[in-house]
Amino acid sequence: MRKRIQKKQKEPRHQQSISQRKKKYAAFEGYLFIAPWILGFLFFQIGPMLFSFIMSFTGWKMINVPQFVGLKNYENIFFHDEIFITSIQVTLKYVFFSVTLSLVVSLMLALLLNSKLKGMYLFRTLFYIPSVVSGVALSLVWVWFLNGDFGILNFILSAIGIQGPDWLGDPSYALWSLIMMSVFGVGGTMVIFLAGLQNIPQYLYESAMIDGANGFQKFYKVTLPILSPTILFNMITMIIGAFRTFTQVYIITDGSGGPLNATMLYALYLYKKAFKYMEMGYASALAWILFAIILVLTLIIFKFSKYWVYYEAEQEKR
Amino acid sequence: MTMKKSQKKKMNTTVRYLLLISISAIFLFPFFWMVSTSLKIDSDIFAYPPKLLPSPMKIKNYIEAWNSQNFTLYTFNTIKITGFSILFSVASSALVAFGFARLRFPGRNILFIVVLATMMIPAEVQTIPLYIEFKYLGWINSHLSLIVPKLFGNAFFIFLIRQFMMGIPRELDEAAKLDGCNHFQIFYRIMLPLLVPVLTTCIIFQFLWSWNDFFGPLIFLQTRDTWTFSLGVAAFKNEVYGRVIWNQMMAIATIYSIIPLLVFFFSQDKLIGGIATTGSKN
Repeated sequence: MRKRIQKKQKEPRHQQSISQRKKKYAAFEGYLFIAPWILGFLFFQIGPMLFSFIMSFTGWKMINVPQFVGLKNYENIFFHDEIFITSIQVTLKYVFFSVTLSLVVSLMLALLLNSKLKGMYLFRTLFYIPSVVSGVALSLVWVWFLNGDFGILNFILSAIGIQGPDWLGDPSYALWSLIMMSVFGVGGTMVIFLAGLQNIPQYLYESAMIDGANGFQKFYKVTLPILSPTILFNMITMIIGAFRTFTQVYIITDGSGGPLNATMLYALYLYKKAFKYMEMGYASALAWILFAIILVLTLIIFKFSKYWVYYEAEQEKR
Repeated sequence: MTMKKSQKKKMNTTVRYLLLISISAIFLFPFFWMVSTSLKIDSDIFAYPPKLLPSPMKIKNYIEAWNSQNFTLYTFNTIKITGFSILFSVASSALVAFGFARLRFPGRNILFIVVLATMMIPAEVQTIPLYIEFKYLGWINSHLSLIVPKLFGNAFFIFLIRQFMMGIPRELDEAAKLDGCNHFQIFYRIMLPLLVPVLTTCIIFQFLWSWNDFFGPLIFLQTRDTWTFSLGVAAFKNEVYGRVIWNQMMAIATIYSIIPLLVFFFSQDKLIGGIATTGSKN
């Protein structure tokens, strides 16, 4: 009905009708261009996510018909699953130390690389290389490297009089080995820091120098505040990445998360539940808990970021 | 006074170089050890004190390692998956990015925010249902499971290409429009040639991701005839467990790493440049 009225009104105003039609056609074309993404979003992202959410309330093991069990999976995970508790502890410890160490190391490397010396290009490349090579190959090298009996690391330690542990076989050292390994993958973060550093205007340092600031003060009062948005960005992407660490621990422990579950990272536990024991409902619940943890953590960090992240735009308001 | 200052500066430079060199040595040592071990004869592997350099060298380790599994087939499979992934993901992302950067349609901004939001979702939430979806489609143990999803654009690439496109003057589009080009022709003839730098970055990224991917093949490819190089390399450890043949394992790891290293070596300024632009735009 309404359509017909509109049509009647438009007919005398021929000009408008053409521009309207043109607009509609442009919109149609727009959707056509982004259609691949829309289809992918529906079939490979939002669709599967909805399905996984529903599955997390079922007791589905691939062989049986999925039956609705309400919150039973979540209840079992939180109250009756000891490996889940261990895995959360292990993962939080890994995320905390791996992210903190990697942030500090990558920032220091970026600062070192930011000086105008010859050959920086080469060093930049060298530090980035471990991030280019596959996690599989790298992990195999580390297994060999960290071997308690004939690994080169313990040989180096023994040369300075330290009796090295069985890095990967001793539950109290295994997770630290993984954390140590993760620091070698800081290349990507380092490059982003480097880009951030190169965007700091030189005059800020000059005026700080006129005010008599020393090297440390320049870093603390100029570099850190201006770099803080980049630190926030790196921190969040690294935390998400650390929560999802899988390949290294899978290769190093032969998929076991051992010794004694000391390296049972969350992603590995989830993988085992889903693809080894085929407990799809239970594993879906685990996946959604992971999603919730990452989301809440990210929100908390964002919330607290206003106390330490400095945005130039805000400064202008004063 | 000035003398003192320049002296101080010189020392500073020396300290920096020393630091850079020693840290580089630490970063590169695992690789050096990998290649060195891959060339050692069996009795030298466990030599104590460890031998830094292999002597005599046993290049045959490489041939033996290659022949211990069907690595020729794995290589072919990996090249196939990587090649299609690059083609599909970069082409579709460029198309979608053009839509977001140059065309007006209702809901455009909200949809673009959704694109960015999908980058935050951990893949774990999607992997389990995808596995089931692919099982019904019959794509388990088929390379389709790793190739087809790439046809639908990659959020990170869409973002990257759109950002780049925003910097290209709109006058070019207008001029092409006057010459009678439709939007697809503008995209194909005007935009694509200008996008070469950012597309190169995307190609390198997709290459590294697909070549090094372990999780995807591990879940979707279970029969050996479909395996990729990463699965073969990982299996090397399990296969011979109990009596790990370290030199052969390191030889395979070296072969597997050499391709991304070469790609990186020849494209590093484009890759690092690409990352640096993304980093500074957040």
